Amino acid sequence: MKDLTKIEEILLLSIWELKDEAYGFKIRHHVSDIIGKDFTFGNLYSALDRLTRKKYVSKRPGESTPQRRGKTRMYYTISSAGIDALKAACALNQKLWGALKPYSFETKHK
Amino acid sequence: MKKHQPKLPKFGDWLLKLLARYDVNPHLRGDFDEEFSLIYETKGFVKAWLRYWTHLLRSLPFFIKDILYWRFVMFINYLKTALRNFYKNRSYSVLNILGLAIGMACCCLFALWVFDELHYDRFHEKSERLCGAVFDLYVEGGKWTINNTPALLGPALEQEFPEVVATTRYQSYGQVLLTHGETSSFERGIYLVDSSFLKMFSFPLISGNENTALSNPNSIVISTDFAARYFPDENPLGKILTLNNKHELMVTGILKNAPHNSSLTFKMLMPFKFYEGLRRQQGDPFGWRENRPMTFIEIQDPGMAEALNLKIRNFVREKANDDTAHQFSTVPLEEFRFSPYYGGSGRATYLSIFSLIALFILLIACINFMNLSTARSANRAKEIGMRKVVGANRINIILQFFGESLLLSFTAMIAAIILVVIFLPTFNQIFGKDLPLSILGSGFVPLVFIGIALLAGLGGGSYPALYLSAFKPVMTLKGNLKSRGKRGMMRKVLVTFQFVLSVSLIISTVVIYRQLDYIKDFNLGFDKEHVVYIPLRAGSGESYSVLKNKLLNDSRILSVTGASHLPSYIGTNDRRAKWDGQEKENETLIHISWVDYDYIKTLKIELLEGIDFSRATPSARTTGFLVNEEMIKLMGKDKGVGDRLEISRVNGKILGVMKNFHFLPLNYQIPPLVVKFNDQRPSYLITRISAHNISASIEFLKETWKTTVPAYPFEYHFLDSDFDRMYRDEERIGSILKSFAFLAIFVASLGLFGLASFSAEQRTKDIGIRKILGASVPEIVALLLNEFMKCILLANVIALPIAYFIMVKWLQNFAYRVNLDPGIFVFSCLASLTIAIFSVSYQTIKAATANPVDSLRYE
Repeated sequence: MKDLTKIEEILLLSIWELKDEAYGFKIRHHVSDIIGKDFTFGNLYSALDRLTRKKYVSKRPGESTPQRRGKTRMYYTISSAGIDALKAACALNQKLWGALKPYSFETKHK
Repeated sequence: MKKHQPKLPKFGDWLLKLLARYDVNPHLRGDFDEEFSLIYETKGFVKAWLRYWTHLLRSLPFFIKDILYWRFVMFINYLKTALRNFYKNRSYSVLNILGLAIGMACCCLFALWVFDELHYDRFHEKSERLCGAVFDLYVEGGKWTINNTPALLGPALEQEFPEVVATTRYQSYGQVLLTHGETSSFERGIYLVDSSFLKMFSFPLISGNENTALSNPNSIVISTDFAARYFPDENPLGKILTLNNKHELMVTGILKNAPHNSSLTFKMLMPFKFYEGLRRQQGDPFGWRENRPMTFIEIQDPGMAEALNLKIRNFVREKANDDTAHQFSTVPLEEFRFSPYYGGSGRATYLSIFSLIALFILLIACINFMNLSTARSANRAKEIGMRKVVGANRINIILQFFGESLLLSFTAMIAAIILVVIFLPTFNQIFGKDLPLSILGSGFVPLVFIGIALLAGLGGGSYPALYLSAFKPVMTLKGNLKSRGKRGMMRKVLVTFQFVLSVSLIISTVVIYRQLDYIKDFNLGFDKEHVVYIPLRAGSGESYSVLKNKLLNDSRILSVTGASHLPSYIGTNDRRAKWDGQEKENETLIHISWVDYDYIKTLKIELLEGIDFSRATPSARTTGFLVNEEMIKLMGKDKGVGDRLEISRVNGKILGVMKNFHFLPLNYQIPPLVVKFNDQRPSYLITRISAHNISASIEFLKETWKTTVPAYPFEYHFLDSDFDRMYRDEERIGSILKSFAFLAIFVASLGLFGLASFSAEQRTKDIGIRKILGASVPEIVALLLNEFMKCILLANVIALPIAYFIMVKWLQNFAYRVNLDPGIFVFSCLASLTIAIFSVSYQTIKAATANPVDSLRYE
């Protein structure tokens, strides 16, 4: 299993968090909020495509609304492999951050 | 209360539809729309619209990256499919590429040839302004075209016409003896020119001054090859070369060897003034009625050549005081190569005929390529169906198949280039050419290669790309393609066409070879075996009688004679002849030769009546003539030995009548011939040597020569090999056609082989069922052969009259020719059938002997 990139990690976490609401528009907003920057659809869908091909997420077409001019939503759900990958990423993060004391930043920036 | 439905951006949506990947396409556009609606509700149209577009533009890089990525993935997929297909059908692929490569290589060699021919004489800086003076000579019964001009013409034109910038005369000095120290030999290629020659033409000097090199009458300019031979270790400039053991010439310049594509081929140049001086010494000045040297003219502006010609025409007419026969005109230097005035009249014809045949072979190869490609791709209808089912559109399929076909044709192109590189030396040898390899990269040659590859590729790919791609996937997947019959018809027509070309070439080759054999074995009327002749050049003729007596002392030398002409070519002729009972003045050209004693004996010419010149009756020498049968026919049947004859104002009697012998090439009928006696300074010493130990005899000849005439180098020839050389042109055409015919039939057979295996494969089940129902192997082979044999037979029927017509035309060049007997045609027909059967039999027998169980299980 390959390590997740940061953006994949964020995406997977967002999809997990959004649960049944995880389709393009919602995911984009969620991610944009988290990273505090505008995360474009172009960027989103190419990243989602990578996750799909790695089988971390699965997708299914859903319903449409009048605002969408009849075009259906594509819902993404995290797979068990995706959860495993997230767990591994989390473990790696903890290993990395666990060794550092939070105040070490303060001293560094003085 | 919600606002009414917003007006969503249409153009942006269309753009997204175009750019976004198909699998998320509608969802992504939906997301865009949803966002637009959301902002529209809270912030209004303008903000929503701006957001929409900035977002779209910012997403663009990702879309493009995506597109490129998938293009690449698909390209790799296409490449993989193509390579797998090549590999799966490797025998087809190899045949296909090989056939096309041969065709292309053949065509390319000829393109090179044409390119080279068209670029003759273009390397001169002033080539556009240079032209050669020529004359149309109107004589009884036709027009002669000559490039010999009066020696006075050039200087006169320079003086009279301001439009003429410069002129130079150009005259061969024949064969001369050149000596420097120990080195001494006869040389050809020495030309007399005016001092302006080096300035008019771009033949650069390596050393020496081009302005002064030819101003001194006793100077000579030599080529580098020549300099290396005569002056191996010294600087030739200023050194002395002795001409004909008489004149001392100083080397004043060294010429770079002339490029191979120059019509003017010379090895040395001498000032025309030198020759002028000799003539003056002899008291024989030039006249306006004597046409010897060529004259080249440099005019100010090529545009006024036409008007100038007319002026000069009248001028020359006045000067020569001759208002009938001569008509002056000029030929531009760049047209020399194809001008009848400079011996190039047949060249354009051969050039176009051979190019046409080369194109035919390319055509055969391209047809093969198309046939094999289409045949193969019929098996790929299912693949096309599958591709369409999983989302390929027609454009994808078209591009895929064109791409595949182009891949093949460009592979063939590379193979063709390799073939050209390998065979260029052979080609040069056959054609007597000197094309360098570098020509491959020059001018339009690379374009020819690429163009042919493109054409063949597009042609071969068009059927699967344009035809198969149009089918509905369901149809192709169900496997009921009903189009085979029609395509098969097309294929048969193409195969027939290929064989029409091949069979015509075979027939032509056979006829030409038959004619050549016929000529070679023709009974010439004299025995050319074991006859050696020694040209007596310059002063060596004076030692003829001494030489003859010394030679006759040896038993290996059977007989010796001298003659003014070789018996294989007696060109001198005269009309002035009188005899008793003549009714009107003689109009027929009578050929004349002067010979020594024993001419008849040495050449084994049959004497019908009378006697040869004899030492016993020396008085008969001056008054006796030997004549041939044709001469008797001309004088009247009742004439014969003892009758009076006056020829060229010399009176005499007929001493003997010779049986007709061929003293001209077989293109001509035998004309009347009169042989006179002369033992002073003959041009050739002709000797019959013993058939045993020929090399010892030659050695003896050489020794005798060395002791008798040491001042001149020894040179000898066999009459029969000389004779073979006379038909070198015909021989060359024969060998070219032979290779053409071979290539054509080879390429056509390759195609047939491929098609046969294809059709056997297509009918695997058919054959299996037939066998189960009791068909025998021969029956099945016959069934499969039948398909092709019809085409080949039809091709023969079409090719026979075509080839017959062309060959009858060609044979008209010869006065003595073979009959076009039906055997030739039967042979060609059988040959083509045999080759065809041979090329298809392997596949058909394989198919026919296969176990039906295997073939029926096969799917």
